[in-house]
Amino acid sequence: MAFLKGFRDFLVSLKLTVVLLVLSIILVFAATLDQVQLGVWGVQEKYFHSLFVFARFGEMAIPVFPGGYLIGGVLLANLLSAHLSRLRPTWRKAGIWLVHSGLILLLVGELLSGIVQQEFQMRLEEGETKNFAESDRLNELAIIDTTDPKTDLVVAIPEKLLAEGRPVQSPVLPFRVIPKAYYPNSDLQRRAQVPGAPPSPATQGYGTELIATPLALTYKENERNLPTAFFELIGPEGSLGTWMAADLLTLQGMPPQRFEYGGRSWKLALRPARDYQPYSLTLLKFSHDIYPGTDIPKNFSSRVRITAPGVDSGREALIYMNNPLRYQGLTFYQASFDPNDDHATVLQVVRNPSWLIPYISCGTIAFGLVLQFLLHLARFATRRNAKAAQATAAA
Amino acid sequence: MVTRAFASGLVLVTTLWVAGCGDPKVAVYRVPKEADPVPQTPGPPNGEMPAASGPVSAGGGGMAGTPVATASGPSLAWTAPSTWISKPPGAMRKATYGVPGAGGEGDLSITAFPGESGGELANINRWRGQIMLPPLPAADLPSATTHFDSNGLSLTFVDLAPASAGGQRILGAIVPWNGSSWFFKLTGPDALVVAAKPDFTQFLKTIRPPEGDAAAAEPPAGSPISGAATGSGMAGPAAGAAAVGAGAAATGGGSMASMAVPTAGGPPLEWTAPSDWRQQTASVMRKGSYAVPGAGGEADLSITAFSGEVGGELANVNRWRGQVGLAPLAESELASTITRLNSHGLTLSVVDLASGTGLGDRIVAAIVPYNGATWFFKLTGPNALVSAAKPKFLEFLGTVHAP
Repeated sequence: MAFLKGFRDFLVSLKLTVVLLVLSIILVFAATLDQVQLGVWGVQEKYFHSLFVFARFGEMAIPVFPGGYLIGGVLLANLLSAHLSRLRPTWRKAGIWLVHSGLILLLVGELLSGIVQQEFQMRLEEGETKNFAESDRLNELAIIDTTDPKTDLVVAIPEKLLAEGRPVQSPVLPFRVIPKAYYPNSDLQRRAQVPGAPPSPATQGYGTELIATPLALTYKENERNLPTAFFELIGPEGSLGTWMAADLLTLQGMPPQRFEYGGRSWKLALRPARDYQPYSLTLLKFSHDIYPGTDIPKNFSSRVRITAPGVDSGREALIYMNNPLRYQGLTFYQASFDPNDDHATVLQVVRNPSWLIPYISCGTIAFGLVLQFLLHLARFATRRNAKAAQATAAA
Repeated sequence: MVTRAFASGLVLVTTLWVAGCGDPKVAVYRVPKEADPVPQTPGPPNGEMPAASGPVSAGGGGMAGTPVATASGPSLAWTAPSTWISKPPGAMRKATYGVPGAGGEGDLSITAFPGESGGELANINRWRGQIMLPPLPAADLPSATTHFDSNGLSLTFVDLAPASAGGQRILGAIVPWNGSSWFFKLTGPDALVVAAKPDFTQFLKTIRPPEGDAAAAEPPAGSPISGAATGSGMAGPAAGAAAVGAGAAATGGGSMASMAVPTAGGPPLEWTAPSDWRQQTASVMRKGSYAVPGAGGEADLSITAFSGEVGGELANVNRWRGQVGLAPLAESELASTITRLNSHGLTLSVVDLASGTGLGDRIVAAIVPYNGATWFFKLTGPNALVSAAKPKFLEFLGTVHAP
């Protein structure tokens, strides 16, 4: 009982709030400095979307500081507990209730954004139609059953499972996928170019002719890590062989590696993670205006047509800076262009079901502040009127 | 009191649990059939690797549709059977047809790339690899291919049966014409492609130079293809498609650290870098890599070396010009762009390239032929930074010497 009370006192204490705020400041400061090395994505993952910030000592990673999720989570619990414990729901404090609710909503919204927000890119050439966007950071091993003449059955294995070496068994695959090696960033060379190179782990496909060399991870915003994975496929009768799949091969436009097994045709490739939609986008026109006589961009805009089974089929939209297309839970921003192709656009595709929460929470906080001010003003005015009445009566 | 303490604990645990979840899952879904991509260039010798002809750009929006050096200029003409379904060619293809038959549709792709694009053996072995056949030794090439002449063109035809029953079969033809290699490739289920073979061979006989074109079949260019590489960020040489492998370090919108090509063997050149330049971890293909600090950031100095002339000076200078937004030079204009320096018995051809606006990147680079190879010393970065670093870079070039 005493322990529970002590725990409650700890959780609701204002000291904890102050400590957490100070830790937040230190975290943001350290992350800002580290952003030079890691870039914005690396910093987000290391400092904010984590329970602890890890430091590497040789081969060991040791937690050295609470991460954003831990600080934010405890802060949220602190705020909620203090609310439950201290504040009584009275009209006099309705404004404070609203302000606190807004703050809680803001924290929850940020947490949800961190967990559920997904970002992809869609590159479209004029006249091209696509029903998927691709991640610019995450990759997947796609094992595709191509037997059906009209459709492909895709089994997409996130790279994290490959990196962790976790065997994958899917009910639609007649074999298991056993990761053997994973290089998060790599270079490829043809075997013939490197005399005396050790034998390849791969026994099938492109990998028998290639050497993959691990490279240091890059965190630059305009660069992409190019992973390579080695994995063995094992069916009921035994091993089908070990394959190598590499992002570089896919991005260079190499066809997926094909094989036959179990009376079915398969192909596989390591590729940027895809996000398919039940509708497709066609780029009708991409405009890339520059200021006359300079290379300075003036305006980018993409006119697209949405083709969907529903009522929106044929709807056209113009996407330009600060004017994204919001459609079925996705937001399409004009993100970039292809420096090698004047007729290709790059859209950033964001899925964030909680995108409205910051607006709602800010509105709630603002309303709460105004309300609390008006309540105080009303009380002040009432008291002053009462004093004036008393003074008049006394006179 | 206890209830409140319990509620507080529950809030904390729930919050942390929610924050900690989100493990990726294997996804299974069905999508409409997608055509396989076409390699950026048809392929190098000895294997199935793509030739390095374009950067893998992410930030710049690359992804699967990366740029490719397709053959330009006039197109061959042909007459397709009426049963074939013409489809949008896509970025890499000159034409695409669906070849209908029992059990589905075969895919006929027509592509063209500058030069030999790796040669017959390499491309046939690449096709063999796509249907899981082992590579063919060079000695077996004549017996595996059929040559015939048609409409002034010389065609090499190959029929690749699947490795196992129920697999894919490929019918392919390679047609050198006008300094480029044209590839006609029909891929599909074995039975379908066997049935379509008479139509395909008949179709091959309709391939012809465009009307009024005097240039009939030309022998393929025997040298690496100058200017074949359009990549805006290749640190490697411009050409050498016949000898290029693949590979990139961390890549990005026009900033591939290197493309894997046969690097020069033999003893490397040596140099002395200024003490304030930070040595970088070179990718496997870089002989040296430095970060050159300056106002507002760092410039990148890459040192690479490749066998032979790798396209020659003009191709490489024009590739670099493209990277800073300048139009290509004609051969006659090259001499006035290049400053030649002599140092320790080496001849260094130095260029200084920046866009006319003075904005964007500047490249100061030197091309150094040495011992049957070509070395490239290339400083790239913001215009002002590279301009400031140029005197020191030229001093650095003066330290380059043979061992």
